[in-house]
Formats: sequence, structure tokens, C-alpha cells
Amino acid sequence: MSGSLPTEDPLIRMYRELKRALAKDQSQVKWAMVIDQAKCIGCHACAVACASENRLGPGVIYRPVIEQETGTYPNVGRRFLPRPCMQCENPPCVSVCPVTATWKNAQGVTVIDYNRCIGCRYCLAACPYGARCSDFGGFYTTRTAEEPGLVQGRYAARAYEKQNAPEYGQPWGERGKGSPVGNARKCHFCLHRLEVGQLPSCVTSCVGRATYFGDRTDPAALVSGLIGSARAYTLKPELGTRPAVFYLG
Amino acid sequence: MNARVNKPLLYLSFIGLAALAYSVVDVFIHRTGGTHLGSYVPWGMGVVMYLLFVGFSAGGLLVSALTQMFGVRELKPLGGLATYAALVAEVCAGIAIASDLGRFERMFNFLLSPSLTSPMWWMFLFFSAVLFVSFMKAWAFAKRDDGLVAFWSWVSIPVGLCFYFTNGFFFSVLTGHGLWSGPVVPLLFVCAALLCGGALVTALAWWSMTNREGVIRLGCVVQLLLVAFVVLEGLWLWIGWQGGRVETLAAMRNLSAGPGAWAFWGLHVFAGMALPLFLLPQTEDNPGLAAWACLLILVGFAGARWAFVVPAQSVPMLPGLDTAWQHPRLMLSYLPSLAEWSMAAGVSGLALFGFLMGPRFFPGLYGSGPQTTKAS
Ligand code: SF4
Ligand code: SF4
Repeated sequence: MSGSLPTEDPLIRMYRELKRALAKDQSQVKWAMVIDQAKCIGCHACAVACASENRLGPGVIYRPVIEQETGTYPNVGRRFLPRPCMQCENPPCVSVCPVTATWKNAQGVTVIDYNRCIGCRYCLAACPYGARCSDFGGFYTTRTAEEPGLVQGRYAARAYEKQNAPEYGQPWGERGKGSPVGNARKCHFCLHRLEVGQLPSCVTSCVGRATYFGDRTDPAALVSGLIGSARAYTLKPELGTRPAVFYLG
Repeated sequence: MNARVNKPLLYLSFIGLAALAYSVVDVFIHRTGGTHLGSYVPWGMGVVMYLLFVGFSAGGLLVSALTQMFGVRELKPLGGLATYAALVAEVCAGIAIASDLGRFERMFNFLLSPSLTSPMWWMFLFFSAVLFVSFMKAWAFAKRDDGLVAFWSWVSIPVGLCFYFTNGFFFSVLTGHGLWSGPVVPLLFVCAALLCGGALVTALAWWSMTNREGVIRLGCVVQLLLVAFVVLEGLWLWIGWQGGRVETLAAMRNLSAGPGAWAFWGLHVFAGMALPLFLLPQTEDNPGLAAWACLLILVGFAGARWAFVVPAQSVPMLPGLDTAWQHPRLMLSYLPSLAEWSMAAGVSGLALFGFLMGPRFFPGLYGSGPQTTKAS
């Protein structure tokens, strides 16, 4: 095999590191994500996988992929910026919440208690990355014809849409009027997957292997090396939010 | 005192009340799902109406401060009316903002799990305090107990100032929004509230014929407040412009040349500032003109609040974010839905009803004896 090709899929390595991190004292773990823009091909697979994993309703998106055009003709370029929640170390969304419905957990992930959130959307206005969404309710299939036999798979689609994801490790019952409808929602690094030893959905679905995830306190972890790279940067560093999501430019 | 009720206005208020009923039902059925809000423009008509009525409620504070602190005795007869107007406006503001919550039934969490770092929590605290103090003040006026009136009027001054300050503070901490953040905003909110509250009391005092001298005197105070507001707003925009942050300049472009520019130029600048600035100096012997100028300030204030809340949000937090994943709830443009317009018309109708019926229901507050005049 050519020496320039990786000998191991980074996913295999990240799974090994995840196992190591889960075996540690969890208060010592700090999750981080690194996104290599040179490898991202803008396929939106991560956005779709995330929407499917977390059963995101209409108008709710945790990880949109922003297309960026640079330069002026004929010196132009195009690159992609997947934008999950930055899991800021100093998150402006947390301090503004009037009812302490959102906070940082021990591993540095900003979480939301859907049962406490009053849906004021102050945190949406406070997040400088536009990373929070409000769930206004509804189903993608609302305008789909209801008569049997007209559209194949319509009932199956509604049945699928009605299931809420077990976000934050809790069963949220059938999607309808209860939480998370009316609440603020955001990417949580797929905490419910991490707890059972799985990498976040965007990481495993990334076709270009452009998204890396791991424990940044582990010096041998893939993310630790990448965060130290000269290419690494964070979004809006001037705001002092100290994101746990890094980009390789 | 004029206790006759203007029937066309009363019928108009009934239409407003019907709209309120419709919007409340919609809120119970759809929560915020009936709005045209989204995740990039999460605040719209509900917040605009809340801020509008919060501003209207400051007349009670203004009259208390002028009579108790500055000894302006001519305004004493307006104390009851100002307190009543404040109460009505606070109730309307409360309805507007409670119906804007995605999970209004959990509002008790303000008490169960408070966050002292949140400007919104402080706003809630001072809103509750202002409402309580207004009730107590109204009760004291109704009982005609001068000692109690003086006591609650003094209490209302610091409580009111803190409340109007927290409304500006609420926005000023949002550093992601260049136009909202910064230390001038809380001062702007205090000044705007005093201006609007004063304008409302002046207009109401004229139309309920409570006190001619008081109307002229308060009109002069409103004129001074309007000048102070113009200076502060100029400072706010100038600082934003000079600061030169890309997002701030984009928000300013939205404000002055975006789809909502009519609210800024037409309602706020022309109707709410330029015309009253022209009319108010001519009102020394003409309280009616002062009342009309104040009405213009109130109408203009609706435009001012729209121009403050909406254009600032129509700037993407990251370039290209609004086109990355497409859905009506992920857009930068915003026009209120029927339910939102109904809520706006509804709380306005409720306020109109309250102002029209005040002299009949609470003659004591308006400084007269039991009401004897029939409705016209
Ligand atoms: S990116 Fe936004 S939502 Fe996520 S932690 Fe930072 S401020 Fe909060
Ligand atoms: S929307 Fe929910 S999580 Fe966000 S600030 Fe309001 S109560 Fe807190």
C-alpha cells in the first residue's frame, strides 16, 4: 500500500479513543470536535444524519453546512463550513437563560433541560453562531395527502416523524405538543450515543472523513494533535467564547 | 373630568378584544407555531408589543418622580390617572410577552429555578415589583390616602427605574448583535419609557379633561424628554456607525433601507420625533395640540420598537447561515402572521378599552367623586 495513504480509517482510531475516554473518570474528559475544511466535500450527509438521528422537526437543524465562496473572479474558491454547536467554554447562551434550563455538563457539552425551558428564545439571540433553534412543532409530512393509496409510504413517514429521539438520555414520548416542541434545541455532540459507546452521528456519517471527535485531555487522541495544528482556528475568537469545535482551514 | 365614553372608540376596542380572544385561543392550540417567527428571527411582534406597552407604563413613574422628588405640584392631580394608565399598560405588556413563550405554562420556573446572571430574570423580578407597586399606588389613590400615596410613589421611583433599565440591559448584553449591545441601550430604554409614559398621560389627561394646567406642564416635560431621547438615540447610532463592526453596519442598513425602513423613517423619525418636535414648542396655551403631539409620539414609538427589534435580527450570525438549510423558520425576513397581528390588535384593544372605561370604572383614581355622567 502507498505510504501516503492512511493505514487505518480514522473512525477506527476514534472508536478506540472513545473507549479509552469512557473508561476514565468522566469529570476528567473534555469532548472536542475538529472539522477539516480541506476534506469537507459539502455533501450535507452530516446535516441529514444529524436530523435523522435527533428526529429534528421542520425548521430545526443542528449542523447546517454553510457554503462559502471566496475571492473574486477569476481567482475564486469554494469551501464548506459545517456548523454544529461550538460547545463554548464560556457560552453566552447559558448565562442569559432566566430559568437555568441550560448549562455546561462535566465533559464541556452545553445541555438543555427541555422540561425546564420556557421557550423564551433568549439563548437563541445570545448565541453568536446561530447554533440554537426553536422547535415550533409540526411535521414534514403535514401537507402530504392523507387518503390511503395516494402517496406510498406516507403513513410510515408520519409514524417515523412522531418518534422523538432519546436526547439527553430521556424518552420524550410521541412528538406532538409536549417537549421538545416549544423549547430551544441544539447540537449536544450526540450525548445519548456517546453514553453507549458510539461516536456522534455527524462523525460516523462524514463521507470525506472530515470530522474528528475525541477527548482533548488525552494527549494521544487524534483531536489533541489536530487542535495543536497551525491550521486550527475557531470561529469568532474575539468574543471570548472559547469554542470546543475547531476548524482546520 | 370627562366620563363620557366615545362610542366609536369603544366599538373599536371591542374589535380589539375579539382579536385578543382569537389570538389567545391560537396560542393555547399552537403555542408559537402560529407565529411567523423562526430560529434566526426569534423575536417579533410579541416582543415589540411588550416593549411598546412597557414604555407606555412609565407615566406613573414620571409623574411620581416629578411630584415627589421635584415638587411639581401642578402634576399632583394627574397622579391617579398616571397610575391607572401604568397598570393597564403593564397588564397588556404582560399578556403580550407571556403569549410569546413557547412554554408559557412553565413560567413558575422563574421562581423555582431562577438564574441571577440572566437580565431576563431581573426583568421578570422588576416587572412583578412594578406591577405590585402600581396596584398599591392605585389602591392608595382610590382611598385618597395622601400618606400612602406619597409612600408608594416614592417606592415606585427606584423600582420603576430599575425595571426600565433592565429592559435595555436585556438587549445590551447580546454581544452577537452589534446594534443591541453596548452601554447606551439601557439609558436609551429608560429615556424612551419616560418619554412614552409621559406622552400617554398627557394625551389621556387631555381627553378625560382631568386637568388643563397639568396637561400643559407635562407637555413641557415630554418636550424635554423628547430632546433627550433624540440626543441619546443619535449617540447610539453614531457609536454603532463609528465602531464599524460588519454586523452592526449591516443591521443599520436594514434599519434605514431594509423592508422595515418605513417603520424607522415614517413612524419613528417623522411621526414620532420630527412632528412632535415641531408641534410641542407651540403648545404653551394649547393643551389640545400638546395631546395630539403626544399621540404622535405614541404612534411613532410603535415604529421605533419595530425598528429596534426586527432589523437587528435580519443579519446572519455567520455569513451564508440562512441559506445553508432552507425552511421558512430559518429565514432572515419576518412578517407577522394573522395570529401575531391579532395579538397586537388585541392588547391594543384591551388598552383602549381600559383607557376609555377608566373614568367610569375608577372615578376615584381620576380625582373626582362618584361618576354621574351617562355614556354619550
Ligand atoms: S455555540 Fe451557541 S449554543 Fe453552542 S455553547 Fe456556544 S453560545 Fe451556546
Ligand atoms: S429558550 Fe429555554 S434554554 Fe433558552 S434561554 Fe429560554 S428558557 Fe433558557
